This record gives sequence, structure tokens and C-alpha cells, in this order.
Amino acid sequence: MTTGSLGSNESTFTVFRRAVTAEWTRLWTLRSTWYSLLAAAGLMLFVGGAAGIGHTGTDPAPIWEPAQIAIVPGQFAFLLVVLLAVTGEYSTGAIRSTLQWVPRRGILLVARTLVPVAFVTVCAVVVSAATGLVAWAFVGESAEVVAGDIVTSLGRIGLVVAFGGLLTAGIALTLRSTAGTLTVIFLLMFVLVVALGNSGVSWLTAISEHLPGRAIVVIVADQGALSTKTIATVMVGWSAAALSAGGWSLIRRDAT
Amino acid sequence: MIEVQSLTKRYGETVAVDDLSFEVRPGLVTGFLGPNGAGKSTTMRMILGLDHPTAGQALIDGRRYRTLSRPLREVGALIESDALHPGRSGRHHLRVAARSNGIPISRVDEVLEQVGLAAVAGRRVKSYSLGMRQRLGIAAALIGDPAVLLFDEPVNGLDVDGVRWVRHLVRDLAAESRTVLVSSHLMSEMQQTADHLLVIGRGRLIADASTDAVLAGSGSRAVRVRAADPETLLGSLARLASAEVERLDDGALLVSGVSPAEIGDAARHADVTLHELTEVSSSLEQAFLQLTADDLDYASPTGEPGTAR
Repeated sequence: MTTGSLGSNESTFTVFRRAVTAEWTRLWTLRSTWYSLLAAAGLMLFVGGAAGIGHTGTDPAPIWEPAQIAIVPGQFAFLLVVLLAVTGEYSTGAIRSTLQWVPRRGILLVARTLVPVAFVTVCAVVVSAATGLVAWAFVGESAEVVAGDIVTSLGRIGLVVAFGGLLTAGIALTLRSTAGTLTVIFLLMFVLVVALGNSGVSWLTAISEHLPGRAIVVIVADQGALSTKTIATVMVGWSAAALSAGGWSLIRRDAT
Repeated sequence: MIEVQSLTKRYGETVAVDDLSFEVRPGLVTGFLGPNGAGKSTTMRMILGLDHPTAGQALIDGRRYRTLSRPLREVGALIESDALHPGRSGRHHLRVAARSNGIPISRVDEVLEQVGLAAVAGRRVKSYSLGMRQRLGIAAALIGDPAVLLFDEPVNGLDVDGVRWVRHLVRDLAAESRTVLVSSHLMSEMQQTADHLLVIGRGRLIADASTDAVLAGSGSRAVRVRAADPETLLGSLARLASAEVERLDDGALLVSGVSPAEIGDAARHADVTLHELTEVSSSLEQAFLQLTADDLDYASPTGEPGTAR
């Protein structure tokens, strides 16, 4: 064998770029991706439209505000795309082909996380913009609206979906199970936040303030309830922990 | 060239693959033979970097699989037929394979044509029969035109035409000087396709020899004898020290350890008329059973790895 075939004369970036195109192909060739997005869009537009109809007062409201409310339930449908992109591989056995085609697992980890998360983040921003416009179309005649700051508004939505996506990808890579990941996501994003937050016990409430679901609600709908530093710590901490566990699982454990 | 060096895989107390070492050379079909649960699939999964060995390593042209940047260009493999997402079409499955390794998308339709799936390529895999899934897996193995190929139980689920097709494919690939490793628990299948055999039982290598040598090594070619007076012939044969005689259900005798000529002489000596004298070449199946029986004898009762090999 020649020295040319030894080692990799191809840059890590080239291998990564191929892994990204493969992950993207994986994503768009599954119907479940598009059904989840359809559900997300339907939910967002419905909630947004309803918020528009409900807005009758003379107090001028930014037209993007309904989307910020709609993303709180709507995020779960977007996150489902990320979840299924990861766990579907384990439930079907497709992971064996994936690892055979991209055996450098560190590269696969980055591509597998980045592609679906970036995709749903972009989709969420686009659907949110549409939601704002739909809400505007439905506002009562007497209602006043202002354009508001579209960049900040959609930026916040993009941020929460990206954060939720990274968290979901990490948990899904760790647990490898659709039902298990769904359960943990609902606990961290919704159930525990409400249950602990309303417990009346101060230290339980303190815990709930540090759950990912609380940070998300604060970012889009309840600004100022937590300090920016707390929110940043919660987001970085949770996504780093989830992705570390998921990365360990993908790189160190056997394929199935 | 595949090199497996002291490969071992333990799951807790269970030893699935036990200090396995062998080489698979190019230009031959190497059969990987053993009963279900012998460790064939686990070994192949470790060669492909899917499972981590507890000890030892597997190298492909001197490198570990997990370091390969474009594995499909070097190693094609069919592992399990369910290693694909049922919601994706066959064409899209192969498109992902091509994308992941920088292979031109035009190869997708070429291999679909080659494995005979072109007509159903747009259908989702969930509608495929087991045989069609096997063909799709083989298409993915061939897409990068690799020099090394591994097929785990490739004829599973295939119909008669499919089996014949896989046999020819495997032989053709080896004739093109590729390295071909084919696993099977069906000895008859290996007898027809493999030039060389690796026989494993309970995770350990039992034989590493050419198919002919394994067949011959099962010893004794036997001779089927039918005589007018078998009892008298038996008495005569008993005087030949090396003869072993087995009575068959249909009244014939299966004699091993002596040549047909010696049996003929013995019959003439005893004045017995022979109605049949047929040499029976032993099948790989018998050879295999003999080899694995020996293996069981060597294993100690506690299931500890035996020292004898």
C-alpha cells in the first residue's frame, strides 16, 4: 500500500461538509420532517390568528407579539423534527448504515446536531414572521398595531428554538429512544417548570427558575423576570450538559 | 486486505468473540462460517468500527475503519438488512450514502440498475420484501466501488434467482482481485462460493484453510457399499484394521478409512457379490459438524476459554 492511502489527505472540513450534505439529505427525504413542520406551522398560525382576533383594545401592540406567544406551544412541533432525526435512526437500525458511512463519530456528532437544529431554527423564524402577518390581518378594526422591532422579536424566537433544538439533540443522542426523549423534554420544558414554579416552596421555585423551559418563556413572553446572566447560564449549562452526554453516547458506546 | 488481530468482545460475563486472529486476502472469496451466535456478526461489526473491541484490533489495508474519511470508497459492507430507515425510498437511501462519501449521484442509478431495483427505487423501503432490502444493502456496499467487501448472510431472504445472483456477484468481485468476506451459517452455500474458509464456533477460530482442505481434512472420504450378503462382508471388512463401518437405514454400509479397491478385494475374498460401490465425498456440513464437535470437546465445562486449539 502506498503512503498516499495512509492517514487522511482530506481535510476534516471536507469530511464535515460531506457529512452535513448527507444529514441534510436524510432530513428532507423523510416525510415525518415535513409533517412535523406542517403541524408546527398550523399551530403557530392558529394561535397567532386567535391572538390577533383577541386583540381589540386601543393599546398599540407590536404585530410580532402573537408569534412570541405561539412559539411556546409551537416549539414542541419544531423540536420533534430534531428529535426524530436522531432517535429515528436508533429505532429503525439506520444508525448502523450512518456510522458505516461516516465512521468519524466526532464529525458526525457536529453534523447531526447542527443540521436539524439550524433547519428548524430557520423554519421557526419564517413561520413566526408569517404568524405575525396573519395576526395582523385578523386584528379588530379598532385595534392599533405598531410594527415593533422585527429583528429582536424574531431573534428571540430563533434563539429559543435553537436552544431547545440543541437540548433535544443532546438528550435524544443520550437516550436513543423517542418516547424517553419526549418525556424528558416535556418535563424540562413544561411539566416541572409549572409544577415546581407553583409549589410555593422557595427552593423548588428556585430550581424551576433554572429549568430550560422557564428560560424560554422568559425570553419570548415574560421579559425581565430573570436576569440576562441567569438566562445565559441556564442555556449554556443545559445544552452543554445534554450535548456532552449525547456526544459521549455517540462516540463511546456501540452503535446499537 | 483485512487483518484481525487478537480481536475480543465481551458483554459482561459473556465472551462473544474470543481472541480471534485472521487475515482475509484479496482475489478470493473467503467464507466466514459458523452457527448462529458464533460471533460472525459481532466480528464484522468490529471490523466496521460499529462496536468497540474489548481487546485487539481490526485493520483494513493497515488502517482502523473508524479513521477512514471516505469509507465507502474502500470498504463496502452489507451488515443487517434492517440497517435502513423504512420511511425513506431506496433511491434516497443511496443518495445519502453517496453524499456522505463524496460519490457522484449518478452512481445511485447505476447501482440500482446493477442490483435490479431500478423499477422500485422511488418506493419507500417499508414496502420492500426482505430480498429487496438485501439487494438495497448490497447496492450501498457497491456504490463506492470498494476494494474490500463484507457481506453478512447476504442470501438471507433471497429467492432462488437472488441466491444465484449473489453467488455470481461475490465470485465476480473476487475475480476483480477484491477482498471479499462472506458470512453464512449455511455450509452448502459456502461450499459453492468460498475459496477459503474461516470457521468459528463460540467466538473462537476453529479452522482457517482453503475450502478443499477443510473438506479433505474432515478426513475420510467414505464408500457406500451394498452387498448381497452384508453380514459376511462385515466379517471380512473387520479384518481391515483401518476400516470403520456404519450401517445405513436402507441396508447399505458406509465404510470409511479404506479405499474402494480394498473393499472390492475384501468382498472377493469373502465371495460376496457387490451391488453398489460408490465413493461419497463428505460435505462441508459434515466437516463443519466434526470441527465444531471437536471445539466443544476442548472447551472446559465451566465455559472458560479452552487452552487447546
